[in-house]
Amino acid sequence: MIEVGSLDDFPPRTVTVVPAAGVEVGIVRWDGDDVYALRNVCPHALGPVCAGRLGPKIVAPRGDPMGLDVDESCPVIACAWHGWEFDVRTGQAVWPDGRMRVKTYPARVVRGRVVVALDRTDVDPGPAVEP
Amino acid sequence: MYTGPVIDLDIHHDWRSPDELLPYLSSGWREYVTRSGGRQHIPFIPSEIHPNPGGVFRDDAFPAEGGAAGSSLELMREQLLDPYRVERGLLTYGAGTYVAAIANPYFAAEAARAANDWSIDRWLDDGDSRLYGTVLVANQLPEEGAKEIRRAGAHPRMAAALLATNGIGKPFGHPLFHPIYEAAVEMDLPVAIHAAGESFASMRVSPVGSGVPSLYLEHHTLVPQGVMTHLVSMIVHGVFERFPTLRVLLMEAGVAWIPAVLWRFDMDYRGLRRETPWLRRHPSEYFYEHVRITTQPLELAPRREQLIDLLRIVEADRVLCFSSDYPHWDTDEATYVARHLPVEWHAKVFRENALELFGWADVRPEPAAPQAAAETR
Repeated sequence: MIEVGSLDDFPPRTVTVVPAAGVEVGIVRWDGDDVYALRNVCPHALGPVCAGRLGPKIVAPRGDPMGLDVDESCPVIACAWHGWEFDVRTGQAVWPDGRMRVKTYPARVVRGRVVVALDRTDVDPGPAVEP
Repeated sequence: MYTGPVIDLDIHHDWRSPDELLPYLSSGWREYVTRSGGRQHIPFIPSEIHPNPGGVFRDDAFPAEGGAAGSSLELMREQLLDPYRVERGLLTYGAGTYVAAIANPYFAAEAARAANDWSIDRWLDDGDSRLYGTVLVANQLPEEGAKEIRRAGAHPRMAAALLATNGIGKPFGHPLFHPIYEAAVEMDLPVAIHAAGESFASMRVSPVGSGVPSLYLEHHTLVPQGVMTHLVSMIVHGVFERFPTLRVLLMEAGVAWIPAVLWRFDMDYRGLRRETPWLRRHPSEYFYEHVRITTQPLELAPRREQLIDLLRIVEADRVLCFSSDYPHWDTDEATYVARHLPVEWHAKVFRENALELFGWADVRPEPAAPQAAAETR
């Protein structure tokens, strides 16, 4: 586990890129103590995904263009280069049946400090780009 | 070589002269058109911006007795229906196709109604049992167009609703057009979208992007642009989410552009999903499920294999439907198309895909649509 800072260093609803053991990691603090960590590499064109925009997922609850809403429970990062969107919680692409994902790392708050598990035995071993 | 029956999904039938429509107009509109017996009638269809220097019809398609190409059923039988074993043919009008280019929307609605009744009388009821009609839709007034689909589309051999020109200056995905799709779905009719709809000065828009072409060659080379616009618009606006049983046939736009448009469409969607969260699938998936496309004019690749390789990528064997575009100058005869497509595609392209699209017969369902563009760089 690697400590990347105090929870107060990461304001709610922001993404902050920090160096961690030689890897650029985007720390997303959503609401409360909800923190997430993603590798700052977009699986599309290897762009700095965490330099992009963070916000709730836009949804169309009626299934048509009228009455757009947001899903506040779903933080989405839109890659800085091409705007491809990924669910911060899982790294999965948010388009329908999206199999592409950004690599994520377990993150949590321990006594006011944000820690990220970069150890190979802890991180999701799956490839960043699936076939 | 393909020797089986052929379904031809783009046959331009025409009136000998516009006077043939006069009996089908209401008395008031007939008076309007004839200008109280004046020497010059109001033209039904405005002039195209770009005249084809050789004319838009095959030179041998003009009836000996006079009249427009496509106006003689006998000649159509002789030149198309009989020699090419046409089992079913879809009639798509001649000059009338572009009724939505008429500036006066009320006259356009009347002209469409009259043309549909003329088509039923002359070509369906008293014509050839192999022929099927399309309901000409004056979409300047979409609600009126929807009424006409429900009225004329009730004829048992009316097989589709026909859109060409966009009569309100917007691509066909715009919600203003949705009453037309609602009616088509209700009547269980596919919507056929014919190319070149914006080629009229009365439209006051360019028929292609980036400006009005000067020459017919420019215009005709780029004709598929308009169909691409309508296709993308319908998918983006969620037409197929709102009307999940809607079927669309794209006509006379060629075929080689399909991979490029679908690939770009899927790619851009990933970066722009936030703009269209109502889409529940990749754009290309809507295409494969809802859209079929006629073959003509089949692009002439430097080597036959090149076109086939390109089309194989998008499983063209199940999205293409043969069309001749008789009697136009760039017609594709069935034997020509058969020579240019793989033999194993022939039964589907010449017949089975159309049967399925129009529900004319039970055919074996096809496998699931191909996966959207692979999620790789």
